[in-house]
Amino acid sequence: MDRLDFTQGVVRTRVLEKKLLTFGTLERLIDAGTMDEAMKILKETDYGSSFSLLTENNDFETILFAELKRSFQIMDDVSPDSSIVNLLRLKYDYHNLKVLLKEIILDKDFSHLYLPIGTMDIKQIKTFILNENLQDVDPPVRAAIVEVLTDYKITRDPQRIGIILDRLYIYHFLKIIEAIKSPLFIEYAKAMIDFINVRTLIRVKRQKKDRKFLEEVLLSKGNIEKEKFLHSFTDSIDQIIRNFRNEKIAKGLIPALQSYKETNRFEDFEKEMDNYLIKLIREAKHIHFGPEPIFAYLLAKETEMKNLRIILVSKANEIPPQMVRKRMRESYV
Amino acid sequence: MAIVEMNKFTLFVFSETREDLLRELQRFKYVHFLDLKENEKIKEWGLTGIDVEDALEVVDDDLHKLMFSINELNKYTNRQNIFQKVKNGSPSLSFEELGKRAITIDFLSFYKQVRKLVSQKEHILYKQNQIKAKIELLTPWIPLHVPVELLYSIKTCDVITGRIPKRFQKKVELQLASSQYTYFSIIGEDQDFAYLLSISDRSETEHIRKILKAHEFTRITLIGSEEPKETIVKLKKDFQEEQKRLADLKNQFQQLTEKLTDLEIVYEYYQLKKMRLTATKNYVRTDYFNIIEGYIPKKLADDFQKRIEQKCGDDYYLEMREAGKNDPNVPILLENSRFARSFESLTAMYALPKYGEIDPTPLFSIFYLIFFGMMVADIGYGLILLVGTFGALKLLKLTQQQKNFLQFFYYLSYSTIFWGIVYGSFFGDLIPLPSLINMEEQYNLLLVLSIAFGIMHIFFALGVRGYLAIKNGRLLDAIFDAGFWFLALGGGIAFVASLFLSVPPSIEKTGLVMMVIGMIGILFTGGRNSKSIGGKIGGGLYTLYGISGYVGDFVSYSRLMALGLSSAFIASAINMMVGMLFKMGIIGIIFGLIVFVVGQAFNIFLSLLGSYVHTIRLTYVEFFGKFYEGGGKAFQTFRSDSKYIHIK
Amino acid sequence: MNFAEIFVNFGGVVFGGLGVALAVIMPGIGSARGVGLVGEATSGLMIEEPEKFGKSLLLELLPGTQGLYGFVIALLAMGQLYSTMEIAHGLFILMACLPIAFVGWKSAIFQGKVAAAGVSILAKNEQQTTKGIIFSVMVETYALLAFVLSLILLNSVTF
Repeated sequence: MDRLDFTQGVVRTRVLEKKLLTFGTLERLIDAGTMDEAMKILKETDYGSSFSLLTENNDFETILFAELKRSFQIMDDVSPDSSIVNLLRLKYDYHNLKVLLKEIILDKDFSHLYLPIGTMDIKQIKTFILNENLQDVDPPVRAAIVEVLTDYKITRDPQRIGIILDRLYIYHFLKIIEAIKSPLFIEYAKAMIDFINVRTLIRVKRQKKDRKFLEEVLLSKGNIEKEKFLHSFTDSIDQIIRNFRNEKIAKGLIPALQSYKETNRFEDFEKEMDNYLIKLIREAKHIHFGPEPIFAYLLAKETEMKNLRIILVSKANEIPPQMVRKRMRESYV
Repeated sequence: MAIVEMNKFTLFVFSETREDLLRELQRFKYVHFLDLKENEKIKEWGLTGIDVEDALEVVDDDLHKLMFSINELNKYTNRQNIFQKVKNGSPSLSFEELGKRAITIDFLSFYKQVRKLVSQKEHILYKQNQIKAKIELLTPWIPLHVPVELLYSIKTCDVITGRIPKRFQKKVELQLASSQYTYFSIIGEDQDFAYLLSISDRSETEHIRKILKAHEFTRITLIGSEEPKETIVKLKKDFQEEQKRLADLKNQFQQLTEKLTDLEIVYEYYQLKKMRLTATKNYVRTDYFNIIEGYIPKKLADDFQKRIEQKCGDDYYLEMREAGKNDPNVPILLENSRFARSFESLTAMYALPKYGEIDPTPLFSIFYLIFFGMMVADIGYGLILLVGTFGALKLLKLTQQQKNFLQFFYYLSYSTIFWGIVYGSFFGDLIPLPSLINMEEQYNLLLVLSIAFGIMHIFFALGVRGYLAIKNGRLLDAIFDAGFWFLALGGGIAFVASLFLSVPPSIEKTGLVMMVIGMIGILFTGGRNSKSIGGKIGGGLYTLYGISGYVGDFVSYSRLMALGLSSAFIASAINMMVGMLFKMGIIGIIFGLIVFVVGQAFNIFLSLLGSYVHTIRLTYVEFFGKFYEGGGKAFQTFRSDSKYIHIK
Repeated sequence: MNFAEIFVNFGGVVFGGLGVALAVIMPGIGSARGVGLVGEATSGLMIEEPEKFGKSLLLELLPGTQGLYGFVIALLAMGQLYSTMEIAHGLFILMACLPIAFVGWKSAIFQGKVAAAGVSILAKNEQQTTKGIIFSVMVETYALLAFVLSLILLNSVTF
């Protein structure tokens, strides 16, 4: 991949970045009295173009989804190399795969849960699985399908579908990233793995499962050794904070663990994790030649939508603004 | 001249006069507020800020609506208006007139109108998209010459319409052909799909369905009641109708644009209001009165006080004193002669001076003028610049900023012409002129001249450093940091020059002695700020090593020669080509003229840009590096530059 | 006439010609690459904000100067060529062309990169574009110095 090929795409991304919602607009949205008011404000932003799709006024998901799809399409057009955009589509692929395998295993119809943003033709994959012919499926995905199906045959536990696919998704993601050879991407992926591992650690402790289960669900290839998590298995949260004090991600991890300790909510942990990762990816602002700004833009857009969803859901449920503010993620701009 | 002297004031007023007073101060314009909430002492006293967030939000919301309307309407203003705008400048109103007119304009109903039109437009676009999608859906079915209604009304059989991927087409056809009570037909095809109609007896439907389902069949229900072809014609007609409505909307938009100026007036008015509210944030208050701190230019102090008196009567308390030289919060306002003012933007681009410093603008402006001219150095280019800037200044209505920019190049054009005469250059060598310095042969002289200018430039900067030290009462520093350098550099230059030129030996000796004294002086005083002996020695050595930096500085001035040569030679190369073309008859002459105009224009652009940037470099690095620090905050007037309306 | 004779008789003009060719070829390649790079960046900007055409054109033209420098040197060197010139003279012309040939080539590419980064400034913060232009022009200094040296070399020795 020649970094100079991205010159045009980077400049286009810079212009698009200006259209991301500003802090001021988000504040206005938070302070908006009602859902209608919020929607009115949103209509005057870049999201306005998706409003024509709206059938029922309160169904903001339609708009968010249309906008997400649009952002991906724009970036497909902007990026000279599809692997960058597909890297971020991967998440949706695995989501769809999860839904598909649940459909097959439980023999139910979940078709409303599909997110048609991924790269895979999920219908086709369904036919392949039903015909028991996986030859034309992308090897990592084929391996994933096989693993899930064999695991289910042995354990008969549909819960494990999600766990397995989440893990394989991260490995697949990392594999693509390693091929791109961007230090920023690798740092991003490794930080993400570390965070997920810490989250797994506290989740397993909370669910009172055993050490063997932890060993199975921990991800490898992060910056922090798997051993270290296993050693921390019996420690209290305070001790865990001390254990990971000197890690690279400590700047985000410690506040994450502390707010988890205070509220006992995983959302608060995840908020700090998102903040750390978006701060990390802000480095892309200083890169003029390379795929990073395109990657960062899509992440920024996803973060923006996460924030919008928090705001709009709270409008629907009449949650006061100060509560919403606490849950907001930092934005890229 | 130079940095405007400031007075710091602290003002106590009663809460109810605040609004009125702010409006008056905004008319006064030259007030720079400090944020009192940041003041630690005030925090200790328990004074609180004034909460204007709600009011600000309302104003922001209004501004947003105005911006929305203006932007939407701007899409429909015709080009001619924009051209006229440049020629006439923005309309201008006085502060009072603006306020009076703004409150009579009902912009909200206006906004609602725009809003409505925009929704209508979006609705039409949405409808058009739907129609387009329907047409697309029906297009493959054009060959079907049966009214759709009739097709689906068949009661005795099952009718299936839909599409299959093309790669299965053969397979499906084969399998369907084996059925007995089924009629099927491929109606149309596109790139990926085949469109299929099948009519089968009830008994066989299930069988057909199974075959189709195994081959990724998607059912399509045809729309409309007539033949697809006719439905498409109707849809197209609908589309045209929507198009007409769109054109109608466009007219309505265009009618609204007549009110654009009104909107702009309200916009400016709200901008001012927003500034007042933001300023209010800087206040602190007790239950009865408000306190604000800030700076005003010293010479406007009386006017300032008068205006407050006018608004508040006796009910105020004002404390005013001269701003301290070392107060880091003093905002910087520059004031210079017409000539130096046009160079102020360069100072601001580097960094504004601190309050205790001097304004370097007049100091570097003369050198800038000389150096720029020396780099472009062409009578023809200078004349174009002169006529262009002069004409624009006279004919166009411009903002102050644009005026300064043009004036800057207007002054530079004189220097360009002057140096053009020295080099005897008119569009390169278009017309042979007598020259004082012949560029093609005397480039050594030119190099020496460039470096001589550099020496003057740097010595002047060192002189300024010495002067500043003396002015601040640090006589020793002046001797150590400027005097010794003068000795070392001046002596060194005299000594080195005497090695190449035949001069009396006394000069050589004096030069050597001066240099040595200077260098010893630097060696002993360069590290005087260090605490340890080692630090003093090391510092002295390091400072002395700085002489090598000066050598680099002097050489840097060779760019004066280099840019001058390059612009002249590129111009003559263009003339050479034109000369060759001119020998080729009438077509050659036409092409020659084109090459001349385009080529020279390109060269003017290049040499102006190059000279602008390289003179900046000489100013920032070589000149400012010797004495200028900068880092002052700009004076924020209480009225920012307006966007649409010029406020007098 | 064998090869040695040809070399002795016409070597001068061949080497001189080589110099002329190099002075055009190398900075030309560099400038084309540099302008191309900025062009890609600016065309990206044009898709989103066509109204910034003027300023982006300014940035795009910057790495073009090197090609022009090379061309001027080539023209001047060409004026000194004649078929019977001595080998030493021809070689000297070749040498005189080398500074602009090499420095022009590389500096144009580097300048192009800086200017392309400058387009990002134009995209995000139009008021600060001047600074991007200044950064980019600074790269050209070295091409300028090489140009002037080539110029002086061509004029300094008479055969």
